[in-house]
Amino acid sequence: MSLFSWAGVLALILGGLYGSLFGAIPGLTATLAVALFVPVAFFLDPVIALPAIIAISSVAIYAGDVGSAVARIPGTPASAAYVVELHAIARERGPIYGLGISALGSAAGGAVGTGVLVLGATFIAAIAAQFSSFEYFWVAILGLTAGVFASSGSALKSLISLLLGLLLATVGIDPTLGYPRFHFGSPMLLGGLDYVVAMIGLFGFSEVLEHSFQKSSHRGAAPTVQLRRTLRQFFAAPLKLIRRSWMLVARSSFLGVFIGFLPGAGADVGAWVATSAQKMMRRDNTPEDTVLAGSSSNNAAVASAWIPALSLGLPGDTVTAMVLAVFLMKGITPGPLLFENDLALVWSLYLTFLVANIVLLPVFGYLAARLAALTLRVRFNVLLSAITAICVVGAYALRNNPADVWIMALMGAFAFVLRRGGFPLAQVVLGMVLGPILEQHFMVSAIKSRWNLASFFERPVALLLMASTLITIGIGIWLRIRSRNKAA
Amino acid sequence: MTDTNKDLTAAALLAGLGVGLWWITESFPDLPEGYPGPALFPRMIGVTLLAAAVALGVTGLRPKRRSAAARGEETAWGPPALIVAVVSSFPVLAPHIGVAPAVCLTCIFGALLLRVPWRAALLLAIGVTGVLYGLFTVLLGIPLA
Repeated sequence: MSLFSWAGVLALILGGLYGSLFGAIPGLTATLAVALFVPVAFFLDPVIALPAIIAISSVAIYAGDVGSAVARIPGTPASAAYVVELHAIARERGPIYGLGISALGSAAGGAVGTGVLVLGATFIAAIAAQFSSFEYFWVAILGLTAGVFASSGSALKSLISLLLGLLLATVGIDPTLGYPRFHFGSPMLLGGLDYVVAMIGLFGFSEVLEHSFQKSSHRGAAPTVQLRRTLRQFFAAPLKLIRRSWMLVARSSFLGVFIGFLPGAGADVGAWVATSAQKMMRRDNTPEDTVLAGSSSNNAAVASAWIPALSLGLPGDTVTAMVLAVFLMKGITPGPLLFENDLALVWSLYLTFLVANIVLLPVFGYLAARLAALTLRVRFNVLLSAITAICVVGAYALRNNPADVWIMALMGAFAFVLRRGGFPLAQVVLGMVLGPILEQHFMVSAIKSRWNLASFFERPVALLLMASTLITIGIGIWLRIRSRNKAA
Repeated sequence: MTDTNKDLTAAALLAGLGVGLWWITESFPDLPEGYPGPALFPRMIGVTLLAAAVALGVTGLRPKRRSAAARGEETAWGPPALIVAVVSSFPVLAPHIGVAPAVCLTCIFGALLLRVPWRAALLLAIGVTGVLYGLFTVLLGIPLA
């Protein structure tokens, strides 16, 4: 069966549609979409099943931005990296323009990621294979450092938000030693705080609380959304922006590619690192620049996460871990032999990435953006009431566990208090995403070197990453001093 | 509350959290040969939080812009507190009356607290519950039981 048979095309279209629904609904993730698709994939030909998974994951990662634009609820952890900026653009210039930037940025990033996948899968996988726990530890430190200085507000408050996120990540069973921590006798907390539930509370429910807190909210009226010339808003204006900021898109895409092929990192970390880097490098950053950086890097990372999966049989993220399971289910062994024995399958995967990013993503993106624009015409307090119900159902549906709704409500109240105190929320999610990676790789490195901490500074790539961290701190402090002097 | 007071209150709470973390992790076991175990990472976070709290307290003493209340914006703690209470009642209600009715009730009371007129709130709650239930259970095959 060929990818370009009617069944193949239908699988791509349905996969894209299914992915866009999952990405747009808070609480449902690309990973969950793929997980629910795996039993179906079992009955399909691999030439159909695997491209469908690519379409699902590529479109779902973009669709995570729909919730950000409409209701400030990121659909995926990757979208949380630029939720504030995308929501601001959607409120000011309409969701079609905002989602156009996100979709075309994602398409560009996805195309770069696919290009690298086609040209350098084996070579890059060989580099990734050299990374040990020491290098992963430094990658996490670099991401956290960039996150502190990426905030436009106080770096101290960003650091505190980050520490609170890292602390929340320690709830549950310790990732290295298996010791249960901070579960307060509740079996529900043993598995840790699910960061999708936490994110729904932090961004979605806190927005409802913030609005209800302000008696005379300036956001009572819905913004005027232009539904004329939508093609121009969605395609032409963002394309112009991408042409003007092509260096930004290229830089963020390559950063996404780099992060994506590191096993265990994936699109979420890619988006965070790219947006943090962009915010740090340019203090006169516009929200459009941040959205472009985040969206291009996350889709680049989706493609590059397949590099270690195809070349070495190592999962780049949870989606590719499930893909490897599908490979094994079908009796296909991923690794160097795949390129010799099943070249047709490899090429059909490459083609699917191109089709998913260049055709499916803009088409479904445009449809989703039009729907988002219609949603924004609803009065804001009515929209917020619906958001309350979506937050409840989204948190509950993830594990059918009513207690997740308590966690979501608690996180919303916590975020509301943080917002009142001027503490940024994005850094809390960053801490929750990078916390387990940081702790696990620190403990593994420390234990295997018998607590000889000098070993963290011995490997050349680790040293390079440490130097990058120090440079990031230096640049961050210098930029803040410069902007303070300018303001004075 | 002024922004200075907010920062000082936050600093005090964070310092308490930092010290509390050290105290709670006292009961965590060490690795063989006395090497630090699962307590290490939370303690490192606690110590950094304590240091950040001190820094926040010091910077909090500097003159600041006025808070929302001081600027004359009308704010009220009642509605957000009630909305949290309404949403928190969902896990209690759902096992007794079912997920869909519990979502519907949450949405109605949430809408009323957000100053949506009661008729509109009722219609909205029924509509949103129907759409969400259909979307999750029928279209996506995710049971909401």
